[in-house]
Amino acid sequence: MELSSNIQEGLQVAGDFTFIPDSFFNIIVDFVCKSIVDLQDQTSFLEEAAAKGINVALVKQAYGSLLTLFLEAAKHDADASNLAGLLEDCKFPSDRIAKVTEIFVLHKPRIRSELSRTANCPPHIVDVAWRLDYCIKDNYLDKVNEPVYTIDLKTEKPGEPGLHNVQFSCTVEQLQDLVWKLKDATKCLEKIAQV
Amino acid sequence: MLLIIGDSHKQHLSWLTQLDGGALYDCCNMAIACISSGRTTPRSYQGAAQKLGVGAEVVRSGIEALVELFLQSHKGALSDIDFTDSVAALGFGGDAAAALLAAFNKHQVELRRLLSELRLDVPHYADLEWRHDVTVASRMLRHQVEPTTLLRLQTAQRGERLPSITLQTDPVNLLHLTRSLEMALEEVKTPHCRRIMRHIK
Repeated sequence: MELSSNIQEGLQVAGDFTFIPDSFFNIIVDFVCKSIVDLQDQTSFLEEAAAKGINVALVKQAYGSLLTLFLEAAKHDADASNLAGLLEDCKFPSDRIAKVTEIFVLHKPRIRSELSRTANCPPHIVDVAWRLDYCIKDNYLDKVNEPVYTIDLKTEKPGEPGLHNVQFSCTVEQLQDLVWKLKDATKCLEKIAQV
Repeated sequence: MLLIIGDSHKQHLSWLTQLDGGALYDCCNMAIACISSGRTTPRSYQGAAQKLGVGAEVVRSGIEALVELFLQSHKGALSDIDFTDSVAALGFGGDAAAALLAAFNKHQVELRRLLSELRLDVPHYADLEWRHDVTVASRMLRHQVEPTTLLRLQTAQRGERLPSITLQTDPVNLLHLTRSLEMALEEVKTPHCRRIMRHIK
């Protein structure tokens, strides 16, 4: 896992108690986690920094670097020791290293889960609804007398809210074909899982 | 079950009752050609009018009346006996009725195909392809082991294939989907459905 020189500089600022006092450092780390987990831009801590007379530009730099560090570390599935090594190279004091690695390890599964959803993939089927109708007649044929299924596949797309529908109809024979193919797929999956 | 035909329709068909079997059969073929192409052909009407010694307008209305007769007969799914009785009631004698029945039976499949294209059709299932994958990494996340199943659903409408839809699912949802659709298939065999299908005929 490599970090660019800008990020490393930012981390050096974050680790330096002359720029970021101890009390404020914990606040920054908490906000970093909230940003990733809640997916909301958290900037209220900048006003707090200004009120305490801390250089806001340096606070922003430290915050941005820590955010990048957490995301990159989660992306590469880094553990506490990888992270500690990296922070030592950025001249972090040992108490701050302990704090950062503790918080990272606590939030890593959640961060990885959020990252896995930030991907480009086809619509993901999450549910299905079906309806069976019996068609009696239409305006071209007096007697149709056929059962017809209407299938509604509910899909989710990453980054888009709500569910979308993929709707189609089928006869009994067509549904039998569809179910046969799906059962084939599930049997294959069960065999793979047993290996 | 006999066809119910209006008076103006009967009037348009009346001159056809005087034709012999062969000429009537040709008129039937013209009517079927008219249904297949969806257009009338004034030139062929004029040709037929000259041959039969009637006006072109009479020929046109007669052919259109035959078109309506065939469509109504097909819609009502008339049996041979019902069809023969219906045309006999319109004044078509033995040979003429036989010629009409022969033309009607010959083109039943074609008529069904044409009418099925006109019927209300929503996209219906045509095919499904599937593929099992394991996501090992993406730009945003490395060291993954995520099983996914890619599905390509092919649908069709009015005989034409629509662009295929690529979908994805995971093992849990695949199982849920399969089970739900299996239950849907079971439903058509239940006593409730069978009772309804038996009673509505």
